[in-house]
Amino acid sequence: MRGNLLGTTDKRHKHLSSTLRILPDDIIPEILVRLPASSVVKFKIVCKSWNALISSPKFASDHLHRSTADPTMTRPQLLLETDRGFGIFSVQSLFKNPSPPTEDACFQMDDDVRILGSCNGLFCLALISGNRLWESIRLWNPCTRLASDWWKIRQEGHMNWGYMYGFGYDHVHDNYKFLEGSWALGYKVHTFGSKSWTTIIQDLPFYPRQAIGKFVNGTLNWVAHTRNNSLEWVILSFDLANENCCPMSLPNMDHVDYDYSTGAYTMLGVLRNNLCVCFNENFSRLALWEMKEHGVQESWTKLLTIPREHDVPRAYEFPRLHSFRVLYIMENDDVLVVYYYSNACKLLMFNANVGQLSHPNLYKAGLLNCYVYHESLVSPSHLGLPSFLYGSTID
Amino acid sequence: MGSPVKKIMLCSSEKEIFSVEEQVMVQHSVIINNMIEDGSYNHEESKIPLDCVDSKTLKKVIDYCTHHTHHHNDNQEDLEAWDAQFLNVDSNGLYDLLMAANYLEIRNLLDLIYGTIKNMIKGKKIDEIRRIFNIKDHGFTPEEEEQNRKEYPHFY
Repeated sequence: MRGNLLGTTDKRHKHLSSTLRILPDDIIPEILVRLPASSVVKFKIVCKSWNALISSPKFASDHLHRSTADPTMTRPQLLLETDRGFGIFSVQSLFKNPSPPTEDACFQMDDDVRILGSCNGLFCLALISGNRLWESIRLWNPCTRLASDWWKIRQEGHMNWGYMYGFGYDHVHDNYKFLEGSWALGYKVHTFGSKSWTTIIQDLPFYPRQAIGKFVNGTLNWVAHTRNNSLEWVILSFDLANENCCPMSLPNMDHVDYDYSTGAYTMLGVLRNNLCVCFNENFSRLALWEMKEHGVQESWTKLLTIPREHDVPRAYEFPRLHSFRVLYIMENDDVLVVYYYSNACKLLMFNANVGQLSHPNLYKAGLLNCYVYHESLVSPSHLGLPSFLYGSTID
Repeated sequence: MGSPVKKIMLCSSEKEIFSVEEQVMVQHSVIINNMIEDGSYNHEESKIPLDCVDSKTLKKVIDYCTHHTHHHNDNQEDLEAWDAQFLNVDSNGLYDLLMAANYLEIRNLLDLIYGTIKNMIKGKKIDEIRRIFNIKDHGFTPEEEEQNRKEYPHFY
């Protein structure tokens, strides 16, 4: 069928190279909202009215809803955080042609910045000071390249043991929030675009495995153990709308050698807008679980198992001391995973059906972290924050 | 034995009358569905005047609605091939169809046309976009335009 279509293209689409009569104003957004964010953002310079339309909060929000509903519209991007800047790759082309992958863009910032989280195409960045700590954060959209000013949210000083933070979207109140704190210091929720913060009175008797929280479905999530039992691992889930925290169970693993390391080396990932975890099962295989319905223990489903022989190359092998975090799953069950060992990380890809593993040659010294995100037009200015172009691209 | 197929009359801008199965139009056009539902259409006497739709366009719109009513169970590929053939029109024809689908609120035809225009402009240079959309006055000051051209030379 497709062959026939392609074979007769010369006779088809008479309109392809012609000029349309002038369209009414309400038709233009209907057409532009169907384009991927990266295409439509370039059309800001077509004319002044398109610029106003594409920059407006209403259009950005309509575009976000449409691309969330149709994942084929805005393809996923992979952002690699390195010492030299942020490299951006298309996940699709990474799977098609893993080595050597070509960067779509590489950003260099004037400041020393780290990523603290990402959602709806926005990244929350921290300004790193000389002592490797941070007190100020800002929002940045790599697609529009717009960022907000630095916002000092913490007093200088050390981040206590058990310090945790996370960035996400509160869909009930339509705002973006940043949570940070520790058991000793208390927890605060900062709302972008409002100068105030709320203090969380609720005691959270948990220590997180990792400081950074994973955003999914209006919640921030950490793997944590309870304060009085370091063998009792749970997922700590913080609801950004009602600013309330509750523990959720990890998958039931009666049949697995479940010990301290199982929890300690478990990292949360997000697949298809669901939480997922990657376990080292009996130290002989990797198991990937997905929580099909957020907060429902019974909905944990084992998606796939990767036998040890398909695991990481021997040179990198630390049988008990590594963690895996799932970044993305394609429609054909190709899975992109980041593998942490020592102080570095590496990207792995495998196909769940074939059990085959491939390694994109992405590991570079200084790779700190990576994020998969969908580009959007959401701008800090839509939250009432002044915004300006941030980061220079290197070709 | 079913009753005879109910028909409605549509009247184009040239006052040409088209008799169409009621069900076909009700299923696809929000406007006609509302007229039938609220009783403002009288089957004995009424004609629905479509003063902004010419006969050629109205015939195409009726073709579209009829095909999609009777072939909605066809496989996706066949339907897409039919749609591609259907939209094999020049830019004036495409514009007329868009205006008619917009006026009659035919959601799936609108989606099809929006998607087609989207594909016409995806990845295109700024100058081409301005030509396709007939944008004569971009509204930027000469300084702004020059600045944009300097900053994004490969977009033009």
